Amino acid sequence: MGLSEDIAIVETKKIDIESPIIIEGVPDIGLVGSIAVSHMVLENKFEEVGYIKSDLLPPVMVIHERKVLNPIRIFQKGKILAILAEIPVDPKLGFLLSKRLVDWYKEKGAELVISISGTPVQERIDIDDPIVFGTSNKEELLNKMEEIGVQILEEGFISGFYALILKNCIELGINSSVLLSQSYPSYPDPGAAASILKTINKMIDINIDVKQLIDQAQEVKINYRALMEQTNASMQKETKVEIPTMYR
Amino acid sequence: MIRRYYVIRENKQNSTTEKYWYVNYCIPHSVEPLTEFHETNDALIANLDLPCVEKENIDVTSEEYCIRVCAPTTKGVCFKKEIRLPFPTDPENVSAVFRKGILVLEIPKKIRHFKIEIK
Repeated sequence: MGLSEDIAIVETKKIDIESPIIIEGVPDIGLVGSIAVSHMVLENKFEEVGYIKSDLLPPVMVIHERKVLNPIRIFQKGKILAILAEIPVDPKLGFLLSKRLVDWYKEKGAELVISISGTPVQERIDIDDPIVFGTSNKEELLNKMEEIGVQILEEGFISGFYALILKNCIELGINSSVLLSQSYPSYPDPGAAASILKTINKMIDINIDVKQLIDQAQEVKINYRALMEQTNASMQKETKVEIPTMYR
Repeated sequence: MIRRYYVIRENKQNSTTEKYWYVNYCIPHSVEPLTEFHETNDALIANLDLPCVEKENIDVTSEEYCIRVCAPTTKGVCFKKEIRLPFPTDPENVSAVFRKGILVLEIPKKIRHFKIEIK
């Protein structure tokens, strides 16, 4: 029997929220998204309400505190839904998963999708407070982000999984923002994740305490080392997109 | 911590359907640190991510074609890295700085560049 390309979103608990806000954390540069969403979910005691099921996922299960868990899970607290991926998302899975997720966001009547990522900077070691950059498909959101200190991207590119999320959100008319924090290119970056969470605190109705994330940054880095190694390898395998010289 | 479980083979001779699993604990006793390299005309810069490591416990040794780093962490894991150089270096001129959990090694190249006069 061949493998199916279907992607199912399994709701282990009924998700019935009006106009949810979605926050996505998928492993990429500096694991900023995964670290930020993982911290938010633990710190603010989100409840696990679902997971992604697909033959396209690698044969991986995650173990946290003796519990065996699916690698891409959905959490909820109030009207916030969090998507947390703890495995690298390869291009094929990324194409299909982004489409399936955005269709599901539409079904749920999502008010806003916030995707969290990092932007690599070579001199990150000299930066104490990483700058958060952002973009969105809605002018009002761009203005709001600018007001809270996000540096809006004027020119450039978003690539990878979040580019697909943004593209699909535009097609289905869903408000979408991508937040990118200055990050180490190849190391897990809890400091960058903390910067993004501070921005999210100002952007939506949530209060995420990042003190523990900053205090335990070294432990977080060692825990995420293996995922970072796999993510670096996965990103190197991704189709290379040639960026025009003017943007370099 | 994430542990990976892979099915590597099924024993066909075995009448039972028991499968043999290889358990890969992602944090074994000794691991390679995540490393970034930047090259200039005169040197190779190696940045090694060494979280949970004390500066006093880092051991760096340099040879003409190889740099070795050994750094035990406070978590029971030891970072080990051997950097094989594609060029010779002056071992005594290799410099190391440890800051914010990152070891920056500057490895000077022993290569001399000459401008060749065209006759």
